[in-house]
Parts: sequence; structure tokens; C-alpha cells
Amino acid sequence: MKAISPILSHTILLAVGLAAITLILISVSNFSADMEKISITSQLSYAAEFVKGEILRIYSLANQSKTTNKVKLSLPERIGNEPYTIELYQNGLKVGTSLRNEVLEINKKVNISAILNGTSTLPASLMQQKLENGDILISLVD
Amino acid sequence: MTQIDFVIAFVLIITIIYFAISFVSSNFSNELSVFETNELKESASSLQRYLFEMLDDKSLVTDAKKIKILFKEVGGYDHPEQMNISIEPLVNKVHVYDNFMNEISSESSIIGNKILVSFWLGFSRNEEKRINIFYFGDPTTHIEYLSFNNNITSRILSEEKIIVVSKEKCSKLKSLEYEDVKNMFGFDHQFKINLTDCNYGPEPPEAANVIVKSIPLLIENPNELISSGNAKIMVW
Repeated sequence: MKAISPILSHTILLAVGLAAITLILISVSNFSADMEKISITSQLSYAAEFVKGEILRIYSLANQSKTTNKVKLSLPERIGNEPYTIELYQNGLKVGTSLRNEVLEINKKVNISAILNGTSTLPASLMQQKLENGDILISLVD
Repeated sequence: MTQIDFVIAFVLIITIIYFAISFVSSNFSNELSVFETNELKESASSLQRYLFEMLDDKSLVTDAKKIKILFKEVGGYDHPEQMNISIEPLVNKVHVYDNFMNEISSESSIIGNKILVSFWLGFSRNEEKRINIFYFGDPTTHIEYLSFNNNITSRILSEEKIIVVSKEKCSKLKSLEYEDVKNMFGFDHQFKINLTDCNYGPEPPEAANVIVKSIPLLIENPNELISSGNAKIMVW
């Protein structure tokens, strides 16, 4: 049996090595991307829960007094180096951002007898007002 | 020889990458754990607000009123005295307590559009006593101490709205399915409430990361008396 020439042997080894390194880099890159996505989702989830808590707090204040209340949201302006938006809609809120063209969103249900509206990026505040018809309006303002 | 070098190099690289990924994963898990714990704390606060701060039909609390009155003996001798307090309009579940929330036995009777609360207090010479009257209903429009002997003077110190855990609302909560309650509150996690006569929800698993909040409250007992207590919310 004829031996493989040293040049061919080295070329094969180099190709296998490069393939292995490429495979490892792709795996590490995917792993890193997955971790980043999980981390951002987790931070969005925390932000959503925080906003929900502040809405409930300002709503309970509305039940105790007739004045207008405003609460600044003490949250970071960016999550994963990207700005994120908070949107209030009837009976809920949405906190979202984008990561490499993928939209990441967290929705939370807020079951209160108030009108919720407004969309904003941070910094933002929640404002609660009692309308003339007695309804409570909680809006997101810059 | 070349093949052996390659295998050794390959195994070394794989080992280094394995340890690097293990280290990064561990750090990442810790970081995630912090976010999850913070989110659980916020969830527990949200649940606390839903249950014990709002006065809507989903909460466990209702508003009651508390009147603080200061009596002073001015007759100059030790004696017991029957106190008569007239409250307008008609209110209900009226109970009288001393300054340490011990109930003072009292009787309530309706006279026209007023309610007359009568109870006995013992006084030493020139002694001052503070009492609290709790009731449910509309704010008072008129409170009067009806003195017959002019031995005691009175001063109304304050009248305030207080939040009390309602036994009716507790009964209502306990009649609801756990998943329906979670959905009603928009609650993504699991929870348990520990409160006298109002325990609700499943026990947390032993291995779970559980956030516990203890909330001081006034609680309406089955006998309609109000007492201080603590609610414990567990979220995991």
C-alpha cells in the first residue's frame, strides 16, 4: 500500500483542524446569541413586572385621593445596549425591543378598572388622572 | 507522530472550550437568577397591591373608619362612667377598643338616623383615656359625646379611613379556583397567601426560589372584631 504524501497528509489535517475550529466558533457564537436573548428576555420581563407594579401603585393612589399623580419609572434606559419601548393598552402592557432584527416582547395583563394608554421609551413617567366622568386614566408620558 | 500531536492539540482545545463554556454558563446562570429574583419580588409587590391596597372587587380589603377620642376625668374623684357617643349617619359593625386594640364591651342602639354607642370606662382622678371606635359605613357627619354628669370631657382627636381585611372577601376568594385567580390578577408565577382564616394557594415546592413578603394588616375576625395581624405572601 502506497503511503500518503506528507503534503497531502498535512493538507488533510489542516482542513480537519479548520473545520473543527469553524464548528466550535459557530457553536460558541450560537450559544452566546442564545444567552443574550435569554438575558434580554429576562430583563424585559423584569421591566414589565416593574411597570405593572407601578401602575397598580398609582391606581391604588387614585382610589385614595382625587389629585393627579405622576410617577417616574426608575428603569434603565437600555436593555442589551438597545432602547426599548413600553406600551400601555387596555388591560395590559407590552415591553419590547429588537435583537438582530428579531423582535422580543413581553406582555403582562393588568386587570384594573382604569383606562391605560401611551407608548414611550425610557426615560418615561406614569401619569394618573381622574376624568370628569369619574374614570381613571393612567397614561405613559415622556 | 503528526496524528498524535493533532489528537493531543484537539483534546486540549476541546477541554479549554468546555471549561470556558462552563465558567460563562455559571456566571450567566447567576446573572439570570438575579433578574428572576427581582422579577419575583416585583410580582409579590403587585400581588400585595392587588390584594391589600386596592378597594375594588378583586382585593381582600375594604375600608372602615376609625375615630380616636380622648376622655378626661374632671370631676376630681375615682369613678366609673357610662360613655354615650352619638354617631350620625347610621353606620354598622361599631366596636370600641382601648389604645392597645383590646375591645371594650359596648352596646349600639339606633335612634332615628343616629346610632348611640354606650360603654363603661373606669377613671382615676384627672385621668386621661384614649379610645378608638371602629365602624363600617359612610364617613360621619356628626359625632357627639353625650355627657350627663359633666364629670368627663371629650375631644375627638381624629377620624380616618383605614383598610381592613374583609371576611366576606376572604370567603369569596377561597371559593374561586386557583388558576382563575391567577388569570384574574394576570399572575405568571405561583403564589400562596397565609392569613388567619384566609389561607389560599398551594404549598411552594422545597426546591423553589420563594420570595416571602410579610404585610402588617388590620383583620376583621369572624366575630366582626378588628385585630392587628400579618399576611404572608409567598411567590415562586
